[in-house]
Amino acid sequence: MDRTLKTRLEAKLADRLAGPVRQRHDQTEIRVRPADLIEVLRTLHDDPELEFVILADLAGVDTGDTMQIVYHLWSSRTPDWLRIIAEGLPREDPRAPSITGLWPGAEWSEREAYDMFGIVFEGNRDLRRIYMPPNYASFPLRKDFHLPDDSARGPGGGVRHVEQPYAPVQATEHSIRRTVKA
Amino acid sequence: MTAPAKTQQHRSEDDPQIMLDGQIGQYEQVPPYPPRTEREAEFYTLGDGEMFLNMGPQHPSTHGVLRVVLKISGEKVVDLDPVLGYLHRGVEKLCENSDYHHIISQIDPLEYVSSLFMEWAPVMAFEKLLDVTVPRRAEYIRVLTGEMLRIASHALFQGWMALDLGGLTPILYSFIERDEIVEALAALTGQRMLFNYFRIGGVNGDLNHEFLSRVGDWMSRALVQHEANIGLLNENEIFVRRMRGIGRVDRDLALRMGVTGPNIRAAGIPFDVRRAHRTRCTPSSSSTCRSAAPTAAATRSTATCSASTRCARASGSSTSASTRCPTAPSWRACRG
Repeated sequence: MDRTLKTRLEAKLADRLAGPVRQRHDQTEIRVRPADLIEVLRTLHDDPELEFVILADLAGVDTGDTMQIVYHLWSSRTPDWLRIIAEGLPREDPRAPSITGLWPGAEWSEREAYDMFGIVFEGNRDLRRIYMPPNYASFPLRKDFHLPDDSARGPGGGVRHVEQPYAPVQATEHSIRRTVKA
Repeated sequence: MTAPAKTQQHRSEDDPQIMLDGQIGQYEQVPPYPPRTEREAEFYTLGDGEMFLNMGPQHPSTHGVLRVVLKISGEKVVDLDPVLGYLHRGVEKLCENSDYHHIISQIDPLEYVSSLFMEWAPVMAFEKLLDVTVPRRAEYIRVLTGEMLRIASHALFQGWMALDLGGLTPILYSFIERDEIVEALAALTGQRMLFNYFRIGGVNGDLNHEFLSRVGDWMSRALVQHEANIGLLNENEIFVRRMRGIGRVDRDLALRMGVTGPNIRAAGIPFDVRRAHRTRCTPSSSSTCRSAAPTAAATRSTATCSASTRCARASGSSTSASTRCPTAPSWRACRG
């Protein structure tokens, strides 16, 4: 735990923090609103006293009520890892600004968060699905996407079938068209 | 005597005349239906002399199942689009539905070359969540086994890199190097590849005699063997000529693109994930090492000396006494 990091963060980010700075083990955690996200990350990246230059991880989180985006940053100025949680994205239409302006390498991480959680990153120039097929319709890591054996969790828990990438009707139409053309 | 009748002249299939005889316009450039996928739409935007080439998903030069859609113009790759989904197995979703102990064994095949590291990550996370303190001995065992596997990984990396360049020999020697390590770990864990050895709060079992004797045996030969393997590459003129000066990544690019591992240290940034996640038995664990904000000069010297201390650290941590580790003083010095 780096106590000085806490004071530095509170001094630099004062009113842009959406909650108290939390510290546990070797991690420091701050929470921000999605609107302030870019500004906060730019301060952390550029400020000579902070210098969080390495983006180690970017992940979406579905809490069941809202969506979050979690960033892990590393700096040589502190032994702690910094975790930034952009919280309070609505589940119906989660949107957040893209950080590819600061870290172009985050493009694929944002694609993954989009693919798995449906979070739209505004400003990402290539926001396609990265793992699932392009015509896949749902977002597999959301909490309302159940695996079949989720029924074992409790009586009455809703079970939805696992979505198929190709509906059978489409597949037939597709294959017919292929054979006719050939 | 009459001249032989002139036979009908044979025309080769290469004769362009035949092509003129056939129907022209049989092949339409653009089929009469709209493109069905994005990829197909992209296909019609190709410039003159360009084509798409699918490398993979089962291509010998893609390690693992990866498909790379190459846009090539002649022999030059103009653009490429990696398609990653072929290895996506939804492990995150599986882990969502399992308990912590199951997750350890579900995650370790994701890094099948040195699977202990893949176990280490969730185990550390669970320990932080549960506020579990790992006994010092278990921590040392983790570092020892992990570092051994890392050496095995580096050995394989050299071999595979030479294999991609067309040299078959180095990979065979790399596997000899790896096999000794893996056999020693098999004596410890019972498995050669997917060890499933780390547990929340420690490891599955204590060190045994066979493991220790195998490690001692391996260590007596390791350096000589390693030097020989390195010599196969570094003293090979073809290899050096092909590798020197290519793929340069500077500090700025490495940071922006999220490069990690030895590559980012080679670019001059002292980021080492083993030091960034502190354990109590690595030299950086004492809080005085990193809390003082290093000056720019100190940062630079860390980058230069980390490479030389890295190898020695593996053996240093196994002896467990910092007094016996010859690199400890320089390590402290470079941490500022």
